Amino acid sequence: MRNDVITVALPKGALFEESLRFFKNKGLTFLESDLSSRRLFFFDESQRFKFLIVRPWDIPSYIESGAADLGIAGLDVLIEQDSKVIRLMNLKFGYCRLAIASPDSSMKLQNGISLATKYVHSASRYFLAKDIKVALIKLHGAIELAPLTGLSDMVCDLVATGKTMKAHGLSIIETIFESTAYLISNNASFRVYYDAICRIVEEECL
Amino acid sequence: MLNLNNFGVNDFLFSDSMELYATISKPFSELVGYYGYDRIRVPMLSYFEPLRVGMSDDLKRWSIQFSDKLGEQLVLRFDHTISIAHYVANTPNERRKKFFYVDPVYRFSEKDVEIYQAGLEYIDLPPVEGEFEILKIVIELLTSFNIENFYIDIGYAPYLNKLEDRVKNAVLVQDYSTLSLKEIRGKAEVISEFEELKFFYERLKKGGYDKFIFFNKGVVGSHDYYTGIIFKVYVKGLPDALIVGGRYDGILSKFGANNLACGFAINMNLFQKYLMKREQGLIEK
Repeated sequence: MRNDVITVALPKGALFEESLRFFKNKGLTFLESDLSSRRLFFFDESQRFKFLIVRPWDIPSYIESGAADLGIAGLDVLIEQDSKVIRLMNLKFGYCRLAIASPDSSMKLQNGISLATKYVHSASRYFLAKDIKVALIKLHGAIELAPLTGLSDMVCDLVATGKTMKAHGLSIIETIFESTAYLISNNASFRVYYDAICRIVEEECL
Repeated sequence: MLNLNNFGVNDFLFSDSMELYATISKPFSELVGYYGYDRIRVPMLSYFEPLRVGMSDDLKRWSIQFSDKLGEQLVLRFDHTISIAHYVANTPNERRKKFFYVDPVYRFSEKDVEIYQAGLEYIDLPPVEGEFEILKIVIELLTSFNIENFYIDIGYAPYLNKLEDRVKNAVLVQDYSTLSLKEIRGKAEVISEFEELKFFYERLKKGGYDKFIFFNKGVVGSHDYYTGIIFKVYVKGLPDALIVGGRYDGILSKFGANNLACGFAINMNLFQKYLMKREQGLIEK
């Protein structure tokens, strides 16, 4: 039991550096050669933790299946995917909000509008609760392009600073929810590695 | 396009996986037989209406229903507990109180639509001693398979109702970020406000089983029928709970009976996967 390796899935991209820093702040050290290699996984120097570098949207799958014990994921992804994981800690970085934006700031949310989004699940739940019937168009990126090209009336997308929206002439109409990065765990791993998890969450050092 | 082959049912060759099922169901049947449980087989096909009052909305959504030629709704066996509660409530002459089962159930909720379940129900159990027996069986079963890395998390249904809404909602979605882990999960200190649980823990201690047990305020049943303890058993190497059980007096009262009842179900699909992984050396000791 003592020598068990805990597998941690870290999000590739914007959240990666701060996610790694979280573990460095807990006292883990890394070899520069491990971090700079192009490998998709690496260990900390003590070899107690194995880190996987995974696309942010894939993190919940790794955790739910138990392929990773712990992970860091945006709340937006957890809500969108309805992930059955344990949320251990709000890490407070990676702030953004899921917002609805339109080229015309006076445009109202009403029956019949079309909306381009990557967050189909969150958007449909939101409109269902408001009892507004909208047409959702699932896109995987460059959402801002949709209203400019006539693909949709509005967009529903993540906004951090609002600059991208502004640059494409979109104004924010409503916020669906706010999101930051969370430390999450698999249901069984939470029990198996409970002592280590308590140290990560409630104490400074591992 | 809808794939009509791949929706969560599988072909099994007896010399492969079914043999593994037998390696689970046989020792299980022998063990619970020793404790006096009788095997029950509830029908695979029932009318929906008589069972309906016992079912949660989730179970109604998950169950597989169709209608007969007169338009009456039929349902495939979706669960054992509710059917057994229905049997007990409608069979006042039945003197036996201990039942076990080994049969598949059908639901649209999980990866597998066909889930093999082995489990038991204890009706009119003596409080504390009855629940102790049930956990003892769980622990004896797992240790007979040389499984040592398992954790039994026990929640308590009345506890959830005492929580303020903010905490209750957080617990239900397993968001512990605003709560203190050590207040949620631990040993005796977590249950200090519940006398009846303290007796139970003392009994487990006396039996020498307390090392496997954690009280966890975050354990809630996926069915809303639990009325007392709810337990989930996690095994190292499996992503989710292998065994789920608890007290569910409430269902029997929905069928008009006034009995205490407690039981558990083992997800045999998961158990079989575990044994296969272990055979392949994929599970560390």
